[in-house]
Amino acid sequence: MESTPEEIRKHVKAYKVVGYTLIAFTFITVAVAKVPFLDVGAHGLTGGDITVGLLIASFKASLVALIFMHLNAEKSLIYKVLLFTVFFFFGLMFLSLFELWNPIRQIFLVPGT
Amino acid sequence: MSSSTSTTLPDSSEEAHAEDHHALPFWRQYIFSSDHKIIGIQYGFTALVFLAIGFFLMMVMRWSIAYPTSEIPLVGKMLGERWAPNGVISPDLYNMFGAMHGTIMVFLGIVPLAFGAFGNFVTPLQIGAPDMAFPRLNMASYWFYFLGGVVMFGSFFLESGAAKVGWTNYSPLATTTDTEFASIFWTGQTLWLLGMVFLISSSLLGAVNFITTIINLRARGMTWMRLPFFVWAMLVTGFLLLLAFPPLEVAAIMQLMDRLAGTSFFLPTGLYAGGERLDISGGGSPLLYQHLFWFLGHPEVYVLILPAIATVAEVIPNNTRKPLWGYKSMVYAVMVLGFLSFIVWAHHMYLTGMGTAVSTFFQTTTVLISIPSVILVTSLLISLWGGSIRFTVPMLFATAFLPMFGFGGLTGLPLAFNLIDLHLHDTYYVIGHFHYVVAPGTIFGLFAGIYYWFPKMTGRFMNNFLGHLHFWPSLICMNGIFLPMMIQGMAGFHRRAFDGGQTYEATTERFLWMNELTSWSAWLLAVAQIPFIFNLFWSIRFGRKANSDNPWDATTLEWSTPTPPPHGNFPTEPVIYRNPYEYSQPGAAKDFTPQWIPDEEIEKAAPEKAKAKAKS
Amino acid sequence: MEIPYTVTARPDTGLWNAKIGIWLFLASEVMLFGGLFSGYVFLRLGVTEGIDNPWPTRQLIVWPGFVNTIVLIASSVFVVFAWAELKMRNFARYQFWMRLVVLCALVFLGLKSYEYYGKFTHHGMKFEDDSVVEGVLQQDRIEFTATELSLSPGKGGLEFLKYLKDGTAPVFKTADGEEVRLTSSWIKNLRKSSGGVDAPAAVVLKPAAPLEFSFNPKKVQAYTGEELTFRDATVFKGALKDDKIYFEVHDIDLRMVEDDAGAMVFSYLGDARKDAYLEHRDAELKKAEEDGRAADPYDTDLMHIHPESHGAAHGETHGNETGGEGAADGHGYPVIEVERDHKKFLSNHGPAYNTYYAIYFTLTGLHGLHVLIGALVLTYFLFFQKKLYQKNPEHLANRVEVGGLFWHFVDLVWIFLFPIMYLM
Ligand code: HEM
Ligand SMILES: [Cu+2]
Repeated sequence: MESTPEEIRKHVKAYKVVGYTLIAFTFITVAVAKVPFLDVGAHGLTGGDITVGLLIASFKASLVALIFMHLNAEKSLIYKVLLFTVFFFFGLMFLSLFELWNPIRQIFLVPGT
Repeated sequence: MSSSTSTTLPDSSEEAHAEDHHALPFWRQYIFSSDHKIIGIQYGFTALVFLAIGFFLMMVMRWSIAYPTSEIPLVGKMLGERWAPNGVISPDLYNMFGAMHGTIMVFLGIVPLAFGAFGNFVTPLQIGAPDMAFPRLNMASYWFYFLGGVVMFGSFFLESGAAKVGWTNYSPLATTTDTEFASIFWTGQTLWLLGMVFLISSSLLGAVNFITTIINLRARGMTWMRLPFFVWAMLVTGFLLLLAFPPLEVAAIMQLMDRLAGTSFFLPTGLYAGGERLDISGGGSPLLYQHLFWFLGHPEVYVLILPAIATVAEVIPNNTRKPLWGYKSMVYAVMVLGFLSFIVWAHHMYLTGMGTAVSTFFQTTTVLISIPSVILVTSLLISLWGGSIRFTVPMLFATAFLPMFGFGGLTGLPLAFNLIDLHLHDTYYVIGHFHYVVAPGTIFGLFAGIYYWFPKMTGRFMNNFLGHLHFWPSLICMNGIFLPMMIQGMAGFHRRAFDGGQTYEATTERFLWMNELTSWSAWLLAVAQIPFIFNLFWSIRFGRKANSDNPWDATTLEWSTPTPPPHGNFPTEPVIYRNPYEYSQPGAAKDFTPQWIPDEEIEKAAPEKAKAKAKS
Repeated sequence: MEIPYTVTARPDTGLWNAKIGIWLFLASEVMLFGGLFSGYVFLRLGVTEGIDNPWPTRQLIVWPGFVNTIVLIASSVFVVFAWAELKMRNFARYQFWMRLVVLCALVFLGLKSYEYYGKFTHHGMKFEDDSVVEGVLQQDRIEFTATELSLSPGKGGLEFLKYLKDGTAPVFKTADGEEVRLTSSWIKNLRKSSGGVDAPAAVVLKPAAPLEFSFNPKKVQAYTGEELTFRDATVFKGALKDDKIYFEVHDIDLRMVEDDAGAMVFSYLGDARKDAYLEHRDAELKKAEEDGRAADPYDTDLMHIHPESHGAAHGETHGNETGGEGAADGHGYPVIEVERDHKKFLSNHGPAYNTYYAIYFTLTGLHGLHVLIGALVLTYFLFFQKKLYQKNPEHLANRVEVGGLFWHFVDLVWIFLFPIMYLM
């Protein structure tokens, strides 16, 4: 870990910058969703709105993880653990695809499709 | 949960150790102990009690299957008029016992025994650690388990009885069952979920602890490839628990919300139950529950089997006096197995109407996962080749494990193909398949472990004759139970029929007699456990004394400690010099070279002997 | 032997124990929240148009969520500051920043509770034809005057006494003229003497004077004009007084109805409001067409109307809709009296209202629990660890790092929660 006080002082500056960036992007997310001429596409799942929202959120989350949680310079072992986790996390998120890729449901259950 | 981790993680070790353990009062030393060995024994004892309870439930069920309308002898009247009118088991009671048999065996019996007991007792010893990394967390995880067990078992005595809809607790049935009682909270279905939340928390804490311990507390010289296979299996099992249990926790929380807060996570729009439209918003999906459940469910079956395979992998080299064959490939196989086990879960759901593309994907991964399984079994089989095998009792169980587990695994392959599974799903074939893996498989592996490590725990051997008296009848009865199930299953017997299929006599007639065969085998299996139970307690006091700290002439580190190991395990810090299974090394005088003996201290064989050995 | 690497890092892994522990724990937390997020996506994608409730978008008031995001980000910054000060061995300043962190946590939880309160006091009701009104529930009771009740000794209990309008314990007479006071010991004796759970015969009791009940409808199994069955099978004879649902309407939502003009709500709200609604709808559709955008079924402006701002003036509408002066409250919203069998579903905007609110409450509730627990742990580090600091400052720094990692994770989860719950 960063051991010397000077190094840590340098880090503190970075933390401040990141904090302001995060707040700035919070304003941007809300603006994109709420200000009419910035608003991207329809709300709901089809619009670009979700993509933009999630992209901003992912960017913010990466900042938190990399800078605040020191993942930018962590031991390899932690990366390995997290790599597995991220993989299975995506496996988990794919649950919903099974709902979509469901020919039987499309044929029999949904009226009018 | 989170608070306990963050508060107890850092400080747990130091204070617990600062005090002299022997000065602790009885309840701190043996009840609320933070010593991994005591906790391991607590786990083991509790788990054996639950295994016995689960076994009892099953014996009652087997009566109902074999003799559906007649009174159960001995216990019939004790079950109460409500559940067993005139001593005849009611379908409701059958369902309840069925659900709780599965739950108790899996979550309260085998996992705690395999992971909790053996894992706790053996892992720190094998890697040369003084204790687990977080001893108090370890204690907390035992008590969470205990609490979960109490909640589960206590639910039998509620007005509603315990949970009734299978160990998988599928919604919507699980949500709409037992809602007629004054308090929905105090029903078996709700307490099942609550109990699961406790058990899951326990496993998560345990997993964090095990993985940290294995990563960070290995003794000097204990490199990754010198770890005994058992430790590898514990590491992988730890990861399975750590990453697969949270989705089940999500499922349990959601189902709790459905029951208590009136949400509709798993309840579709327009759902009727008992002829009435439910007063719910709807919009949920029963499939979501199944996905979340089986996301845990499949890794969970490897949680059940890996510790047993690993125990067998310890016992076999010790008794063949040969190194484990293919140690490295086994290590990689177990990692691949753990990895793949996360992406096969939907093979339990072929019949839910998932899409064909999805079915095909899961069919493929399921077939793939049998490759590492086969590598493990094959390596163990080859390890027997050319050895001068000592048939000690643990070895008997270990050798029996191989074909039994193999049979269980091979019968899984047909199930992996969705077309065949259309016929076999929810029949006794599935029951037979997984019981071959867990009963004569895992349980035999665990018996091997008990007989094998007993001398380390107590300083005495378990009785040999009683061990044989335990083993042979058990082996025969196990097959008497599960082989007929495979046949009945292929003949289409449904797995949940309380009368064993008599209602459908026209089609089941030819195979009905097997119900009796199975049931009698099950009861005889119970009888076969009597020598074991007696042996277990009797040998603590009167068993043959182990003549040294290493009575099996083994090579792994747990045998270097004093017997039983004191608090802190090792009098001096151990150093590891070699691979775990160095049996019959050329040039050595003895047929085992323990991990902890420096090269200089190895007794050399007399020169001519060494030559002879080198030649052969 | 002592447990090694509790404070200093192990040379080959470079990590001390608790650091590994917390990351493993966070890994499992990722899977926990991952499961819930996955549930969110699953449920949202699973909405079948025309069958399920439409997924509500942008229904929450944004500012509390927005402020909370800022508050959590700030607290995340403060917690690293606190840790840095500890690393520089500056205990007083460590405490300063840590105090701010805990303060942020309190603000967060306070705002969250305020939001929850708003949801629990807002209601929605779906009619049999799937038209929906939202607003505030005034009354949802079944009022019944009982002159006789029969208690089945097997299942029956005394739960119904809770629903007596005036709480005094009434005196009853049995068929034999014996006087009884209903106590739990009396019922226990009855149960024993009559043969337990399966006892067939009901005990008929007559109160000295007719009893006024106001039942929670969920506890009533069935009722007619003269008879009412409680859910433990106790049967009451007498007269039904009132079973209507009084609902103060703020918005209506006809997305699930095919024929807007024929929607069941309008049989309660009256023609004036129907015409105003249709006019408003057509205007919105036209405007959408002129602007060249598709009429968005999720757009709240189009589908919800505020009854008081359209149609007839307040004074009139009250008369029409409720048939009485007293039925309208001070806000100018109409209050409708709904026949109970026209109701399909009624709930506050709590978790039961629809799957969106279900996952909203589950996710934010679990997240709030994490905030609470994290705050407690950090408070502990703040006030009770001075001794440890004096003994071994690095150890405390390690602990704060672990607590901080947890805290950042909680922040990270919220960063995703905010857009998916409030904005999309
Ligand atoms: C390598 C081989 C294996 C394959 C290909 C395999 C395949 C399957 C399949 C496809 C099913 C679903 C059958 C159905 O419900 O229709 C199943 C069920 C099951 N398997 Fe396996 N399996 C294997 C190994 C194991 C192991 C090692 C265990 C346990 C230790 C196990 C335990 C179970 C259990 C408990 C069930 C039933 C769950 C239930 O429905 O209640 N399996 N297996
Ligand atoms: Cu499986």
